[in-house]
Amino acid sequence: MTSRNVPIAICIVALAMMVGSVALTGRETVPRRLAALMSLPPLPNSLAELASLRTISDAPPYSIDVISASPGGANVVRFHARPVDAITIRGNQSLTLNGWAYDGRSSEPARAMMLEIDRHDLIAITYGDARPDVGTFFRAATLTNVGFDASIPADRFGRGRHRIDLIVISADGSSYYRVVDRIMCYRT
Amino acid sequence: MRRISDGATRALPTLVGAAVLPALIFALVYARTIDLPFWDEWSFAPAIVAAHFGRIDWQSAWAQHNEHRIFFPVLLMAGLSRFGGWSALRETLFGVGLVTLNLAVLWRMLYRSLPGKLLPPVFLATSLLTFSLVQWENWFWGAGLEWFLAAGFAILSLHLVTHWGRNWLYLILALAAGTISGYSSIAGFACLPAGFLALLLCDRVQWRAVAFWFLGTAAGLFAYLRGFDPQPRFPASAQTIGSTLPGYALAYIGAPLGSWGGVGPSTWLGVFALLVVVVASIRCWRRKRAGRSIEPYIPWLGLCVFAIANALLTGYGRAGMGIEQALSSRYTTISTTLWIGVTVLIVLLRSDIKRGRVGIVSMPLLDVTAAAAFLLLATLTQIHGYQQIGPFTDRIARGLVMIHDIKKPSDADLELLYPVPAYVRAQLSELGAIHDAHLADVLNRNP
Repeated sequence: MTSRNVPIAICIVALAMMVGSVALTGRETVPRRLAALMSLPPLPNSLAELASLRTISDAPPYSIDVISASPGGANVVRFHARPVDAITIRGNQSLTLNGWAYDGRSSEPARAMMLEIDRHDLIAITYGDARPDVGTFFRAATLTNVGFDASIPADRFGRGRHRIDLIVISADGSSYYRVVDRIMCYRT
Repeated sequence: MRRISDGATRALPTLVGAAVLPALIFALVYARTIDLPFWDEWSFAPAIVAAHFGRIDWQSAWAQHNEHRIFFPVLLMAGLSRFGGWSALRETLFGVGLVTLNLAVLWRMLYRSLPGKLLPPVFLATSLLTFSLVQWENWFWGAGLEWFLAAGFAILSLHLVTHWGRNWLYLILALAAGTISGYSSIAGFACLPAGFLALLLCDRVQWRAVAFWFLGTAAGLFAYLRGFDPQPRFPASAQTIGSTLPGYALAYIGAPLGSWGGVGPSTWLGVFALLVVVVASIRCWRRKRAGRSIEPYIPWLGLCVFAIANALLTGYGRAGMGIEQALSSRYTTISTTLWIGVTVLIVLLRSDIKRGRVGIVSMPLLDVTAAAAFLLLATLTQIHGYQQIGPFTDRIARGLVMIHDIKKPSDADLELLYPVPAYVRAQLSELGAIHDAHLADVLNRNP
């Protein structure tokens, strides 16, 4: 191959890729990781479905970094895995919390996270937020997207005191961890 | 025997750089891309819906997205969706093809700047940088196309403007390529001042060409800025900009070889790259004074100016998010052009040195040390980039599974895919209404 032909050869490779991009997406393509996720049991939608999963008695590795009633920014609490006094939610505020957690047994990100309110209401929360600090701390790149955040409007709570448990579904979706008595809130 | 051996030594790096590395990335992208639009890619949805009806959504193409007008990426993505629906996988694979085309341009630039025996190893290093896994975000994300378009057309523009040889068609094409780059991402506009500099530095300045370039750039920017909100999204405060901007810019330009170690190594590599640019500029000035040509240096200095201007502009708009943000993988497609430039500048400077020693260090020892350092940094970068692919694609996969698991996904599920769930919900509804063939297939596939 002479130097003059090299760009022509590269252009042929590039054009083959562009044609390939159309040809290859015409058929079923499911990456292995996605196929593995899709073969997992469905996530629980209710407490009854949650009860059908195995319970893991240990606490998962986790931290609740911020609990606050927003808007207003009052009652901001920062702590790591220790109970706090009740957060007061007033008027049209929401209970906001964020932190991180993962499946300690497999050392992989959890399948999902939920909140259980007073043991009668189950709410799915956002899980998978980027937390590069967690991955760096545990020296595991797979634990980069293990952040969670939730914002629960006041109307999900009746007046009075409420207990909120964190539910962490294991990576394989077959069992769950429960973080109890960490979050209490009081709605005026 | 010796000739055959020499030929093989030259052909192997060329073959690896031209075909093996692009093919490896293509295969990896095919195997690991999750076929679902993610994050900013959802802003392309209205254009995809319009394309379904055979229309071009000019309004969406021209609209401002953050600081960008992504006119050409919108047209390209809408065009690609005509081949069987909206597919992020198709976009990522097409992106690899675009970058490979760009490699042909880089070969032409190297061919004009370097002696024959240096061409294969430098081309291999260029290919390694171009196809680096440090760009994992753009490789595995459909919206990465806008960065590939911006960087690719900027390189093409600089190639044409530095080798226009008084052929006005080349100059017009160079300006057009620069404009396409700018209308793919605002980052692309930085190639136009770089081209201006290239015209001023060439051996015999053509003032008509300089004026043409200046007016063309001004017209492109004028159209861009009409109705444009120039307010940056996350600027550093006025009090801290002086202290944060230099650190941000250095980390930005050092990231393609230093992101494995975080801000520290990236910043030091940024300092090193700047030093090379300064030394090369001084060398050019001396050569010019001695009446010698500096044309082999110009395109590579142009690439460096392009990346440094972007580091400063991005820092102005994003330094408020912290210096770590400068290491974002999507920016490395732009900052990699600086390392391509720096690599060639080092080789050119080395070729200029006739003596056998620099101080007490012999030149062969210096060559081997430089090559070993480059390989070490490139290896660390590839390992780090490869480790990032899983968490990134897992997040998209998780979003897809959540949508699949829960037929009416909650806002919390959709937030995995885009920070404004209501927008994704509306776009999914629109795409559902047109029965977008590919997306419907992805979303409704049974586990």
